[in-house]
Amino acid sequence: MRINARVLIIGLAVVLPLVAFLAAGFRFDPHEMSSPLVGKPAPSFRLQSLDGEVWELEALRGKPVVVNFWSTWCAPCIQEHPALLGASRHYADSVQFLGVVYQDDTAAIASFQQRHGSWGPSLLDPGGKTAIAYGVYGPPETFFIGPDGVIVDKVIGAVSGGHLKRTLDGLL
Amino acid sequence: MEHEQPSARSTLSTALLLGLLGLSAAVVAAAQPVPAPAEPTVERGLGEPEGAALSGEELDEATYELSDRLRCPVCQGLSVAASPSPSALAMREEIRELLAAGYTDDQIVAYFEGAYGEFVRLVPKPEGFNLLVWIVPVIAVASGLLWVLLQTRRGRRSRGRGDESGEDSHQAAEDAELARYREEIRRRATRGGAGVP
Repeated sequence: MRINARVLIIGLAVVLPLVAFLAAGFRFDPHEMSSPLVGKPAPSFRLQSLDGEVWELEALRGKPVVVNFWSTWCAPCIQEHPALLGASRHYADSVQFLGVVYQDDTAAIASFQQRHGSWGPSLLDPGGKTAIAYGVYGPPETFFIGPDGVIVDKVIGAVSGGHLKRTLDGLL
Repeated sequence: MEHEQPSARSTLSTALLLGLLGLSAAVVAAAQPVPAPAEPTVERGLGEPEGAALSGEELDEATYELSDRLRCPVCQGLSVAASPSPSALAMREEIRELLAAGYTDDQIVAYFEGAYGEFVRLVPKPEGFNLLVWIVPVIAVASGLLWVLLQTRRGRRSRGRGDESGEDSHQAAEDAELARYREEIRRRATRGGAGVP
């Protein structure tokens, strides 16, 4: 079979850049989407918890804060729950853990916490305004805020115990 | 009996007085500020509004137009205006609130971009690497048109040449065919020893 050299060159010129482009895409983990908020001051908020307590991010300046957007209908949120529970106990005196309820109802949250325990206050976010300010795509998303109020890391998906330990040890 | 009349009157007066006191106490209590549930607030870092506050139909239209330029973060290629998801609904409400407060389109897009990154723009900014998105299709279409044009011209030219030399080429083809037959007969004759006509 004779191969037309010109057709071969044109074909390769078209196909090779496309293959290279797609191959480069495979190198990226979709869970490692960089957030433009990392390295910037965390949007401050004043939210009420499930038990009526008011929490202000500004008032927590001076100690690291873990803000986790979660809901009871999200499977990875349930998966990461033990890791957050363990970390909140380990860093009870030095780190503040805050959960922000993402598109869920209070009864479901209360029932979940009764069954599985709570790693921190669950803050209500009416209208999802806090989730928008933090650029949340979907739960769970975890933001690590340094003592100076700057976001140092963001995790999309279930956060692991190892990641919590590494990041929080780095902040303390 | 003489004592009963004033006693009944005083009881009635006391009851009226108590009723009035109760009513005024209720009015005073209603006027007292009742501790409202804490208003949730989020700092957007948008600064002061730089445009005019919109309302009514103008607000509806502006909300739709701006929502149509932003990507729904939980959907596959849908705009905030087109998506029925709760996230898109929350974003639409946020856009509406900001437009009603007098924030401009640029301020609002910058706010969403600051939170979600450039991904939130359905139409990427024409700068840097993004320019490829604008340039490559133009180059591809122009190259395709050029190729079609060149092929058409070439085809027309070769057809023209074919018309002029059609007879000659037909004769040449026949001659070549005949020559092949003669050669074949000569070869067989040589092999078989038969004479050549």
